[in-house]
Amino acid sequence: MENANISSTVTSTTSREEERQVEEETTRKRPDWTLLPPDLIIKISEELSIPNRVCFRATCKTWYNAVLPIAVPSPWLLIPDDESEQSHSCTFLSLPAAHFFTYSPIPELRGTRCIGSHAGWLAISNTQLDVSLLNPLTMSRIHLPSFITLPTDDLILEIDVFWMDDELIDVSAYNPPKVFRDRFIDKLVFSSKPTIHNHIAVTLYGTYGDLAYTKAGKDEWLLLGAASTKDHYYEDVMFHDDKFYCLTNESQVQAFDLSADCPTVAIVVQSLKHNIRASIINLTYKKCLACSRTGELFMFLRRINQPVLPLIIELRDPKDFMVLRANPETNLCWAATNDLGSMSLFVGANNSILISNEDLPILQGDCIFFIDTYTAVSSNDIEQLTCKVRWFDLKEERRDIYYASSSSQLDLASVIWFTPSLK
Amino acid sequence: MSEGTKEPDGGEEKVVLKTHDGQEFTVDMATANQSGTLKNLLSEVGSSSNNPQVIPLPSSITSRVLGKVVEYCQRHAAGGGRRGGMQALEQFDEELVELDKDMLLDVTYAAAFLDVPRLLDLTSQAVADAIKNMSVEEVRHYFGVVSDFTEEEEKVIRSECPWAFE
Repeated sequence: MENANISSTVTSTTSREEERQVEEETTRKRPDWTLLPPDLIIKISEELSIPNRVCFRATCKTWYNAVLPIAVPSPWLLIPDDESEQSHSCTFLSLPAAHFFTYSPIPELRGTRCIGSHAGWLAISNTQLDVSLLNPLTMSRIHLPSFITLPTDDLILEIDVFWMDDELIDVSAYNPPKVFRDRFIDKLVFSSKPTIHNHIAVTLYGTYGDLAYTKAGKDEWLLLGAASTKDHYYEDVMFHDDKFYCLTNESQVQAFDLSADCPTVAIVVQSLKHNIRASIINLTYKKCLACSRTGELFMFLRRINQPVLPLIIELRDPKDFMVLRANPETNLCWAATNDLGSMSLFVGANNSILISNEDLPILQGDCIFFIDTYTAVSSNDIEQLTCKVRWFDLKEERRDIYYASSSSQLDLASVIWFTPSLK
Repeated sequence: MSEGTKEPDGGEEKVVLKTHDGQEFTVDMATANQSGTLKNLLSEVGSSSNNPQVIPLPSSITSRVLGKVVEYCQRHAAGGGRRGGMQALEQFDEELVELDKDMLLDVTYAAAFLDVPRLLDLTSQAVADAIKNMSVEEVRHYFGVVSDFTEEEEKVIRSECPWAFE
């Protein structure tokens, strides 16, 4: 076997032939990966990002015992990087475990902000208004039509007027599409397990609250439902069981089926406008829609201080938070409740999520987690963007702040709830 | 190359690495010193070109695997000073670990045994890259690993991270 001698002066290319011969001569059994020594298992696991490490660890007993426990139960709070949209990394906070971890690189996230999230996927848009769906765990990506195709009147003009009002704006940094996205795109929801050839998305956008949809094969956004006015508009939208549930400012729920060529719609919960109190509720509260696995609908109401009402018709002793429920199969009307059925609700720009409290050991009762983002001037006179994740315990009527952050980056995207999925 | 090192064809110190399947790899000291294990060993026993030290290796390091390790060590002993500089070296590293998974495992073992930390980094990273974004079942399939958890244990693990099993 002298021919297999490789001296230090022989380069790798000349040894290929010899290697092949050696390979043929050497018969051995397949290596057993489970016999990797613990230090090598740990070494490999440390090269993996947290979600991948979770999968790696769960492979077999040896690996499970070698790798330190990684507690990252979902939902995760996706926290945008402080570098704003220039970064390609993002930080997650596993809510039940109160564990922060960074997941990067996700090059696709660079230059975009998150405008929606559902079942493992994120909806992202850049400042050119390109839109796509991205699964940050599998890196699968689906391109949607640009927001430029949204049905809207004088889109850019609208923003022009908006900007001219504000003297502090640096005109050179004036970027109408970015402003449109940041101010007028409320959220984007989409069907579960989207693929390039099978997906439907609906966005809530515009000055008041319009809906537009798109689906696989379409190259534009089409208006869904009636165009909004200042008295009639949409406040929230969610996807559940192949339908898009859309909540109007009068608390009516319309279920759109977009699977066929033409959208069909059914009213599944009636408006709240049977008396003055109901009408005031509609005006005084910001509304979010959620749906349990069994199809029961919940509406979470958060009081907003909006001095648009004449004093005489203000609610007496108004509650800050309320939840109404309706079961479209039995009853078309909303009814107040303080029971989420041992579940907790996560609302935001994401498709709202209801999670069983059994999976959330941090919680005592039925809670609603929601996100407050606002700009405020700090003590040293610097304007800051503050983002707070608050929760409200429906039964005990307790409330607190779960997570808060401040940044001098005023255009930072808000945090968003995310549930990981490999599909 | 460091000062004082003679030309390869001159009387430079050499060492012979002998694999279990009987093959011998003659390498210079700069190459051998890339390995922490060999460096330690040779600092005690010494070696020369006329009478090079022969170091037998365990059976897990076959000649094919050792060939890879030697290739890495030779290239890195020369460093980034060669034509192409660091960029070429990085590309070399990348291409070196483009291996099938069984070979990757063996080279990982060898890099650990011979204590070549940066090669171990490379192979660990390559293993990690290969299984990136795989579900638990896919990772099992990839490595040919059969789950040895009891039904109960598997249930607990699944409840910890249901998404990882999709």
